[in-house]
Amino acid sequence: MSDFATVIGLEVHIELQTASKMFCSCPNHFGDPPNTNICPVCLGLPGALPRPNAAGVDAAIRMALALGCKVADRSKFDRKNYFYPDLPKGYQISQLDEPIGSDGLVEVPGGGSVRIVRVQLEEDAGKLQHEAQGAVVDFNRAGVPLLEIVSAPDLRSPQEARAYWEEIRRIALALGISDARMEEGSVRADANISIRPVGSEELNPRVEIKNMNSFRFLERALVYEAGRQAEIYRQGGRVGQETRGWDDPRGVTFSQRSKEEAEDYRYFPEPDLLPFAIDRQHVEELRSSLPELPSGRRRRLLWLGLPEEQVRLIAESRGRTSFFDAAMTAGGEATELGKWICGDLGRLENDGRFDFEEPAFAPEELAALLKSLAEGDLTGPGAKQVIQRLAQDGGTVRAAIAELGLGKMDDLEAVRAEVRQVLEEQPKALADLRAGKQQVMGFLVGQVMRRTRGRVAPDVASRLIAEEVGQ
Amino acid sequence: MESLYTAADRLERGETSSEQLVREALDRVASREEELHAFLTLLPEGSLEDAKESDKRRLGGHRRGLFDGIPWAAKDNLLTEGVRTTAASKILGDYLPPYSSTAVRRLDEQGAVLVGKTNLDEFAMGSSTEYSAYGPSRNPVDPSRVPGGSSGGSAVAVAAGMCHFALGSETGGSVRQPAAFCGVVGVKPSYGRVSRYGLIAFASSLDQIGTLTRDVRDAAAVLGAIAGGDPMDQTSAASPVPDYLAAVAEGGRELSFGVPPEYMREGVAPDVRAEVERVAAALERQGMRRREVTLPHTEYALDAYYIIAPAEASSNLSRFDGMRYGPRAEGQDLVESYHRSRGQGFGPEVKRRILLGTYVLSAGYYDTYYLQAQRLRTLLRQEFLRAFEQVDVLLTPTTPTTAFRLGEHTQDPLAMYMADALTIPANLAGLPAISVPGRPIGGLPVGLQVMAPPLREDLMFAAAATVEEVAAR
Repeated sequence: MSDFATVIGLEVHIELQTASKMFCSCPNHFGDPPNTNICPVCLGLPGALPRPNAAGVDAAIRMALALGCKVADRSKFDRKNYFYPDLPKGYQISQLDEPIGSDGLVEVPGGGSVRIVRVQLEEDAGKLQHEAQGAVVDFNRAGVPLLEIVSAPDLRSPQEARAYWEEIRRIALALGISDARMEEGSVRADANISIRPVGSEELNPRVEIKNMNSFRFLERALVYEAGRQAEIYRQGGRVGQETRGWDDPRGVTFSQRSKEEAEDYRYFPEPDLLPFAIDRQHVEELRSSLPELPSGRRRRLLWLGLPEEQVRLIAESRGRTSFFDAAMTAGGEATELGKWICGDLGRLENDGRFDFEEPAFAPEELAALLKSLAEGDLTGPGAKQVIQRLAQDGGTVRAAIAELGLGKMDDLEAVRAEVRQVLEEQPKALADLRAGKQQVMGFLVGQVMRRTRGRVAPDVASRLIAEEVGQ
Repeated sequence: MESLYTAADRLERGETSSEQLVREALDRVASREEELHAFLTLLPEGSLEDAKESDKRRLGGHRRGLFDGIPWAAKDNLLTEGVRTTAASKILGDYLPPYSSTAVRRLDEQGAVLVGKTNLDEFAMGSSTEYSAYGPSRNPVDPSRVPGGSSGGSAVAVAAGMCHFALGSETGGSVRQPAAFCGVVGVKPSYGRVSRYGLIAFASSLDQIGTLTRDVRDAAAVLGAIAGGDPMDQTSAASPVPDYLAAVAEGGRELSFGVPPEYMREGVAPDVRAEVERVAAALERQGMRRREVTLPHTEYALDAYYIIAPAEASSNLSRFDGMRYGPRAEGQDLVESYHRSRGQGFGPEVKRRILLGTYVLSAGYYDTYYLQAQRLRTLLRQEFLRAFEQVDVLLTPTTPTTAFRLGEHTQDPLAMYMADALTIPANLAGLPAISVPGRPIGGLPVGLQVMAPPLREDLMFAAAATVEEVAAR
């Protein structure tokens, strides 16, 4: 493989999360019973006409801005004509030569920068399903607004292609224009891949791998395809331009259509919709209301001194980032916050017991927790109990400490009494310790912690045990 | 024959009832429909019920206005909720639309009584109704001749007294040409004046719903009833609808007009030209000022039209695939099912236009044909707008000849296409245009066309009222 360089371009499709469909007022909602969100327009009945959804246009403009694209002053829709049972009108309303956004640039984490050729708005098709009695179509998805984001062939490895796609998805999530659920097919991609000898600037015929809906599939398909093409060239063959599909169970790509069989989509301007001007002032309003993007979050978190792994974890989620930000505004120290958000709270989130988007307790409480720790009001183990309690029941750190009885024991004699009690109950451990087995110290400290429910700092417990034993 | 206004007046005065009007219309249908074949679907029971409802309203003092209780007919490419709509094509089978077109709904709401759906060339593609999958209509003046098309059935129904007015649709002259052939008034409004929602599309950038009536005043009333912006059609014009009836009452004596020489050349029959000149001279005597105007790009209009219209049609008709409605012919696989459903469902003229349209949109040909045709269209529109800086309206013949005989042009598509040569420019430029009957030639009706600037139907109606007045003398 090392004698070839890989050239990849991606077309990413993202379903927009608008209230209604792109060209009619049917609800844009996933998961409803088949063919319930339909009307004459999205069903392509005779006489029906499309009417554009301004929210879809705004979402496209915001994505274009987030990708550093130029937003067109004037745009229009075009018809892409082809026959398929999931395409009710026999054409898809799309954009050909006047897309909403063009000429952007996006930074890929751990990779280079990738040029964005275009951001265009179109409509999704229905969903064809094969069932026992034959193929059936659910048109609930027909007419759902869809963004197509086309990259230049700037991606140089399957890994980079995947990272790029993940970044595009994160940006869409940050903008709130899509729920970007992979499992619902809200985000899909077509990849164009060719290879060439290292150092060559020439582009060889490319193969398009269609309709992938998982990051892992994409990476696997591209790795396979690069290898397949390399093998053809090594044997002196030529790679023909074609469309291939990915068979994940078998781990291979397979030919779907050669260049000669390629469809002629007979694009022409959609006569049912007027070309539209995009108002500059409106664009500037949308630009100034853009949220912080994942790349900006990452830069900021790195600058605050968080380790890269935590930066990645926090920045990819709007919820984690805003939780972090609010806690920091409340006085929390950045690196400590990073540890808690990626540590205890991250684990609770993974278990489905905490949601950063809708947190059970205010982020300010995390700052309060750090303060209690720093000021010695709370021990490390106690703090963990407090977090569990807050995640479960909400409320404040102060209340949780009181309810759990976790206030640190600052009466040294009281602590000493607890230590003596432990040593009395553990004659064997005591004997071992006296015999010089230092490893039982940890066990005894643990016993003290248990008796006091974490209200004693471990170093204090260990010092008092040592004193009692007379060491 | 009674105009819509006369009937409405008699209703108002209690001299007749809606039921009576509908029965008279149905009697005319009974006596002449077998010969003329104006209708694809008749609604005898439904229309009588509607008429009785209307009579109840009127007697209870709740008449909804001019149209309440008046029998009318709709071209069968206008969707009518729950009433079979075929576009005269086998591919729709006995399609029952789940909604009505905006124009139909507006008339329904005003209490007009729909007596039936009229015949047309399949998907409105044709100029004689001979391309209807259900057989041709015939001209009531001379049943050996065509009524024109594609809104032939609507023109016949009005001319033969089977209803008081009808709606048709235009893409290149499909209302004005049959109006001229049958001796009634036909209006093609400006593009955008009437919502296209619920009109089965032929060529979206040219299609427009139009009216067929006994006289100009009726036309003004019907257009006023269906015109105006519609949120369901983004290409409909939101601008307010002027008072067309006031324009008719005022007449066109204060206006100026031109007769562009490009519409008076060899292709136009000499006696048709002579009739236009006769009317032009009469208009001048009425005080209308005549000025010279030329429209040199007119000769390219037909070429541009026969690229743009089929291109859009080839795409608009893609939805008829037998998958969701209409008969489906099963095949070995999906592609064969498409081929058979569409192969059996569409008639020869529709196939010809789909082929033509598919070809001109193909990769490598798009720039040569479609883009070039759109440029011509822009030039043509600019040329019209310049002419309208000189004159208020244009006067031309509606058609190059009077009605031809059945079968005369069916084997020669180009000759058939020529029948629309003088009406197509208004569609390409989006202008309003009306055909008003002139003095018959050899016993056959002839149409005088008045064109006006975009959205200036008021000027068109004012001038047409004067044309109607002088033409009858």
